[in-house]
Formats: sequence, C-alpha cells, structure tokens
Amino acid sequence: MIDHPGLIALVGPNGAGKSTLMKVWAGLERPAAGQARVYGVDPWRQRRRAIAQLGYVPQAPALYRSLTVMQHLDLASTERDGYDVALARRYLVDLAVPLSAKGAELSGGQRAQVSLAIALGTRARVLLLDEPMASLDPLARREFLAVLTTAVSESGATALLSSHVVSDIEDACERLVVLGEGQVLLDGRISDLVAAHAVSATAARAPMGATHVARFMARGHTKQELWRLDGQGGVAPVDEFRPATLEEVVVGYLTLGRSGR
Amino acid sequence: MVRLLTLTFRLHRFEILAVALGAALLTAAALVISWRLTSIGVPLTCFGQPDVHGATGSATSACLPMYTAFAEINGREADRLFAVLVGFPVLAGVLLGVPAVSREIEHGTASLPWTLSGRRKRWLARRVLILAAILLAALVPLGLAADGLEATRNPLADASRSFGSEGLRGGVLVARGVAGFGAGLLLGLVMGRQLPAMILGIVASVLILVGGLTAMAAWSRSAATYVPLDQPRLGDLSILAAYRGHDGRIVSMRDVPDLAPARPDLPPGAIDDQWIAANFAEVLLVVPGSRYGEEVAIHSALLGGVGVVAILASLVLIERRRAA
Repeated sequence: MIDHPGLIALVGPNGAGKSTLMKVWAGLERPAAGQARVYGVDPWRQRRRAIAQLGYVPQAPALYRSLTVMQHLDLASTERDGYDVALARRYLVDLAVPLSAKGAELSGGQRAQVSLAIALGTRARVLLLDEPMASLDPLARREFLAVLTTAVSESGATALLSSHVVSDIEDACERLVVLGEGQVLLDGRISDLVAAHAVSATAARAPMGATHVARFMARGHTKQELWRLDGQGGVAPVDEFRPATLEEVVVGYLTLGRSGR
Repeated sequence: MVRLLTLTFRLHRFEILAVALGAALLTAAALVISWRLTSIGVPLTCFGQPDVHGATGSATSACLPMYTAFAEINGREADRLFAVLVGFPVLAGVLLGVPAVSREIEHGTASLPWTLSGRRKRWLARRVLILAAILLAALVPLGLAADGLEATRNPLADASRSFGSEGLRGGVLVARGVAGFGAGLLLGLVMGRQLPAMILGIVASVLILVGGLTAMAAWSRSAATYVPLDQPRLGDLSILAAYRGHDGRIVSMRDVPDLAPARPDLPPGAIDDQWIAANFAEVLLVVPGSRYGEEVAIHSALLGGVGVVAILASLVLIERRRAA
C-alpha cells in the first residue's frame, strides 16, 4: 500500500515485476495472481475510475511519430476529461521542447520530457513512472528529475518512480520501496533506511542489535555484508563496521531479492 | 470533433489517402467509361437486334460500326474496371481496418490513450466511426458509379432490376468493404501486428465473400423459376438449362438422353434429338431481374452484418487486450 505524497522510488532486481506492477495499476495488464487496487478500485475491472486517479509514463515513451508535440497534448485533451493542456504546455516550454516538432524528430530526452508532461497534464493524484529515464544521458536525466520533483511538490501528488540509478533516487526521492520475490523487502524514508543499515567486510562478528541482510558485491568488486540495525544501539564500536550508503542498502536488498531470503 | 478528425487523419494518413485516391480514380474511371459509351450514340434499336454482328439487313449494317465501338470499350475497359471492383472494396476495408488498433499495439502507442482514459471502447468506437465514415464516403460513390456504368453498358435492362455485374456495384460493393473493414479491425486487434493481420485479413475477407456468394447461390435456387428458353428477359439471372416434359416434369440435359427409347438405327450413345424435341421443351432456371433489389438487400445485409459483428466483437475485446 502506497499512500505517501511525494516521490517514491521503486527498486527491484530485473524480473521482480516492477513494470508489470505498474502496468497492472495502470489497467494495461491483468494481475496473474493477487489483487491490485487504486484507491480501492480494481484497475482492470473498473479501469475508468482507476485511471482517473493515475498518470502513467512508460519506459519507452508512447509517442506517435506523425504527431507534433502540441497534437499529442490535443490528443490527451480529447481522451481525458479535464486535461490541463496549459500546464503540460508550460512544462514543455520551460524545457525548450519544440511544440511543433513531430514525435519522430525528438531526441530520446525530449521524448521522455513530452511523455512526462503529458502525464503531468492529467493532474492525477498518482503518477506511475516506469523507468522513464532508462535510456537518457545524465543531463537529460537531471532535467527530467527537476521537472518531476517540481511538479510533485507543486501538486502534492504521489509519484512512484521505478529506477535502477541510485544517484537519481538519492537526489529526487523521499521514500524507497524495494521489491523482490513478489514482496516488499524494504519500505521507508530514505534517510531512515540509510541510518538503519551498516556494512562490514566480514560476517564473522555481527554488530550489536543487528540482523544480517545480504552478502553483496560492493564497489571495487569486493564482497561486503549488509546489516539491518534493528535495535536502538546503532553500530557497535567495532572498526570494521561503518554506516551504509544508499547504494549499498539498495544493492544489498537487490541481492537479497535475487537470491531469496 | 474537428480535433479528433484531424488527429485521426494524421494517424492514418497513408491508408486514408490510398483508399480515397483509389476510390476516386475508380469512380472517375466508371464515369468516363460511361460517358464514352454514351457518346458513341448507339441507338437502342441496335441493342435489340438478335444478331447485331451478323451484317444482315439494313438496320444491322447501320448499327455495326457503332455497336462494334461500343462493344470494344465495354469489353476492354468496362469489363476490366469491374474486374478491379472484385477486389478493391475488400482491400480498401482491410487497409483501413487493420491498422486502427494493430499499429498502436505494434508501435507501443496504445498505452498513451489507454492510460489517459479508461474508456477504451469509446476510444475505439470514435476511431471506427471516423474510418468507417471515410470508407463509406469512398465506396458509396463508387458503387453508384458502377451502377451507372452497368446501366450504360446494358441500356435495355433496368440496372435496378438486372443481375448484370451482380455484387460488383451498388450496396453489395459497399458491404464488401464493410466486411473487409470489420475483419481487418478484429484481426488487427487480436494479432497486434500489422503485416500478418493484413495478410490474414485479406484471406478472411475472401472467405467471407465466398461465404456470401454461397449463401446467395442458395437463395437464388429458392428464388428461381423455370421459363421457356426464349422467354428470359434481360436482367434475369440464368442458373441452368434443362428440359421440361409435357407433364411438366423437369429433366436435366444430362439425363434426357437416357429417357429416350432405344433406336436401333442410331449408333450407340447417339442422342435422339427428334424424340427429345417432340417430348420436351428447353427451359431455363432463372431468377427474375425484378428480384435483384431483394438479392442486393440480402447480400448486403449478410456481408455488412459480418462486418458489423466483427466491429462489435472488437469493441468487446479491446477491453481485455494487452497494450503490447
């Protein structure tokens, strides 16, 4: 259940089902098992009501090659009741995306920006962003995140951002959800999660009041141990233990998600 | 609405232009051929002569040059045009129907409208209405022009009461397009890929047309009556020739020789024409031209009905279709 306003990162190993989950929420796919709800509404059976709450940005921008950017906004306004063309247009103008350019003429970064602007124009309560920055260069990623964070803070919406790039998550997101084996392995405020984990080079001696999470591949191709500090005592004053970084927390839980608990 | 029309036109520009251009050219061709046939000015009396090519009698001699020119244009141009009209309506329907959904799925763009609004049925219905209206706007004038050409090339028959060029003009021509459109739309939706859906759509449409022809052949049998060989009128649909005995019994041409009594003076297997002529009259099984309107209505309803059912099935299936 995700009910926090703000930008939430959704992370999981490849094949964990992040895209499928987003498509299920967006009413594009039927869940193979279990149930999905958008504010209590089944997005497959009551698609219209569920989608009225959602804006969706796919990994590969779903833009028409033969339509201009402005025509995409026109199309959105014909499909969605109350669509805010002016808002979407404002974001695009701020980003210097040419409104008269056709989908086929846009760069990858521009396509992602247009896709985001279309979703923002819905003024939806929830934005689902399915790895929209996967193919973007660092500059384009930064611009994309800047628009997204601004829009989310202005609207008070909940945005669920699927991404593998930890630096993006660290810059933009307030919360982190790690998926694995079809379950939520980790969920919380990023600052709290980082503070609640420690790393060691060896699992020989556990920190006081800590639970072993995973043995993961750290930078420099060295194996490290990730610990969750369940108690109030924090990391024991042992030299080989140090606070974890967000990247180490994410990689540790991705390792856990891949190998099983 | 104007915005929706503009967007739909831009998204389907190629197929809309191809169908519109093709239909416009064929319509123009039908009108030009009709005009050329009419401008020859063959008197109606020439068409009535049983042996216009025979060069016997003064009237025939006067008719011959004009009739020859008329027959040449009719055979060379009108027949070829009607041959094209066998396939064009179906192709036009398939060409407009297949990409309506399959292109969106194949190019990954379906998720844009489908996640902007949960009303997929409305999205498809609006697109289908626009594309179907374009198809009808292209095919109705063509069907009328083909009707006109048929009336021109068979001036003695009332085209509205004649089975000449049956299925290649008027309402049936339009209904063939609707059948192709529905089949293409449904297959495109199910398959999600344009080229395979296009190929299968053509195959399915041909099967639908064959089914329609088979059904109409059965209807023709039920609507047909026997008339003396010299009695069929222009516009009647002749189904088969047979013999009718004095007692009214109908015997096929193949079976009549077997009924003849043995004639030792004739070689084995020879047909006793004298005996047949004395006991039987040649008859034709025909559907009167007066029933052409009924045939058009049934045939059009069958083909159009299949197209409409396919469209309705698409409107149901779109709700369950994955976007990619």
